[in-house]
Amino acid sequence: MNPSSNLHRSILLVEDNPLDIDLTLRAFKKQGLLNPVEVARDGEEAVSWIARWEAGEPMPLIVLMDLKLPKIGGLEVLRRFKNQPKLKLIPIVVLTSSSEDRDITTAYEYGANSYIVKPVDFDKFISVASEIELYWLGTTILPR
Amino acid sequence: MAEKPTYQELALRVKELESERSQAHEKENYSKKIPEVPPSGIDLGSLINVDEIQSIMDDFHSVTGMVTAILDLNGKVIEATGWRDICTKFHRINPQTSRNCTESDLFLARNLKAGEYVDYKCKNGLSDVVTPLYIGAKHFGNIFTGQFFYDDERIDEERFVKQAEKYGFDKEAYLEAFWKIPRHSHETVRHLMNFLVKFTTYISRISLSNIQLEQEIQERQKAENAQKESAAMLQALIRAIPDLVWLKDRQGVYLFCNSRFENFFGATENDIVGKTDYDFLETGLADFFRYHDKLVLENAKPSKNEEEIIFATDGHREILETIRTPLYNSSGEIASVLGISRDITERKHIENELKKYRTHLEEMVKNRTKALEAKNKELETFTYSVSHDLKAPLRGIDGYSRLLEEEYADKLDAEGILFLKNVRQSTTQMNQLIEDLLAYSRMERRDIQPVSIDLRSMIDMLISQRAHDIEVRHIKILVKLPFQKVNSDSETLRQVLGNYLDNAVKFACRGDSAIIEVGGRKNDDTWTLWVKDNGIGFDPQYHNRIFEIFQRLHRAEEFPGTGIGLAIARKAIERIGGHAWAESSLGNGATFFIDIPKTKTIPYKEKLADEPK
Repeated sequence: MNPSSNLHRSILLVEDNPLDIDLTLRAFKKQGLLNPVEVARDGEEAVSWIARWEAGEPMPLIVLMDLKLPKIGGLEVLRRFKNQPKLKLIPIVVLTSSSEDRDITTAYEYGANSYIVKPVDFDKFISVASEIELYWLGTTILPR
Repeated sequence: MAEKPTYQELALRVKELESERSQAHEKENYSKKIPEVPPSGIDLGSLINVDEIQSIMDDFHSVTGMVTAILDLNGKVIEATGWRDICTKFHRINPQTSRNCTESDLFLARNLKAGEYVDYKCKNGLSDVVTPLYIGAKHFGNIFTGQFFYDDERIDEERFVKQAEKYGFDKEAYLEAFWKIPRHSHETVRHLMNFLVKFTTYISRISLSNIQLEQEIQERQKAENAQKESAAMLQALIRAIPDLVWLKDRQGVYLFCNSRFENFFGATENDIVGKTDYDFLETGLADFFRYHDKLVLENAKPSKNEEEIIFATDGHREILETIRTPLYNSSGEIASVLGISRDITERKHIENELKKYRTHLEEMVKNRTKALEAKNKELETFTYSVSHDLKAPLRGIDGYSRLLEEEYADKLDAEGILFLKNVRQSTTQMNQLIEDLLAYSRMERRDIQPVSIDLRSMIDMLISQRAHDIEVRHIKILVKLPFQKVNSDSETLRQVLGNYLDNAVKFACRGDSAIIEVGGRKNDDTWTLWVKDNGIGFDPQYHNRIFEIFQRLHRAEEFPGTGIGLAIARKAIERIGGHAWAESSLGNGATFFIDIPKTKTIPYKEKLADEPK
């Protein structure tokens, strides 16, 4: 069981599409997500968080990562996150439209903890959000 | 009395006798120094110079006073000396007496004995002697003496007087002639005959040898000429050959060369013979030639090599293919090297051109392939990103219409809610289309890899993936396969059989009696598989249309579907060289077939049917 102190720890959402951001947030809210959500709007912004965390800012509980990002692609961001000694413990859930084999394989090669395909159907999307919450924030014991 | 025969007739008779006697005569006695068969066509006259012999015998007669005659087989007189007047002036002239002469001639001829002489008293009263002349085994002529009295016989003068009267001779003259007839002893006659025989034989033999020698010389000359001619022809041939031909001895000294070679050195054969390559070429090239000559001399085997040379006559270059062959002398040692060089400049040029074209072609093909691959990759990326980029806005549409539905339900009337439902339905449809398009493009991009597939496992997996729908619809699945394994592309089979199963489930008969049968058949060159259902079936006139892309036979609200599935199935099967078709009748179910060619398995890892997705 995760400590209740986790509740104030943030979730980093790396996503460029504003509608997707909004829908994702709404989906999670519908499931009763209480944690604050930080958003990185592109690959560069995502990478800049690395510096901030190194500087001492508190690290997120989990990262939800889309692969289609401007400036620096999601896979590259993933790779950098996972290469960082301090950050590599943070679970990264790849949440993307692509169901291509090579994306899946590469993501896992780079150290993704999970790969979920974003459904188009909103109802399905809501249940996916719920499953993510349940699994990653509930069932899974996160590193301290 | 027979008619007076001529010498010709006598000769004929002699010839007859000759053939009778030639077997009996031993060659040993007469042919020790003479070849067995003297050249034909030679008669005594050609062996003995008639005039000279005549002159000799005239002198002989002066000394001895003896009568001699040598005749050839045709009766030709080689020499005749000392014939008595009594014969020439009387006996031989008078027809009757001459008949006697002939008779005695005939007798003598008839009784010839080799090595012996025959004695005869002619009817006119005188003695005649003859012996045949043999050179070798051949009878060439006859030797005569006669017209004498033996010294031991009684001479009957009275007889001759009577003869004169009988034949009307001038008695006085006749008797004068009679008295002139000599008397010889038997010994003398014998000696005479021996002398004549030996003399004649010897001379003839020498003559014959000479003639034979001459003939031999002639023949040798002819042979020499023939040889010279053929040698000359050979030389002319070699000179005329358009290849360079040369001959060098072990030291590399030229023994011979042809005209074309003269052009190379820019000198005549006379100038070249006796000299070496070092006298005409720069050291480097001369060394090169010498090296190859030595190779042949040492290895005793012909060699072939290419060389590029410049012709001294006009400075043009040629690439030659030279073959060097060792030549042996009569003692069996290698005495010289024969070289023949063929101009292969043109050939080499063509070879190079060909190589260039081939390389160029290979280059072109490589570039074209690269370009195609790049294009392919481009298309791939395009299709892929388009599909995914299409999904995001769809997500937006669906998301917000749903939110609207949920959070503003109280502000919407039934129609409004319906509108939103329709919007959502459209997005679902579009999403499915995009998925199908993605699947279609993915299939195009893939490589075909024939492997050994466990059909049963694959089908079991496909069925288990659709287990929920199968159970809900109470469908019974039967799998009847006469073969377990096929060699084909696993992904393709999975896609197509999956699609067929989907359709079979979708259009399965309602109620509890739904059955889906999966079957197969092995043919000579192919395997056939089918998925048969007992559902609603389709109008057979559409049996082809259903495989076309986006063609559907049902309205969307009746049966969901984008109309891509079967198009993908057919395309996928055709890509691996097979066929897809269907048979049906309305209300009686449908059977969907595929035919896949038997391909050789590539020694690849054996793919199991159940792979993680």
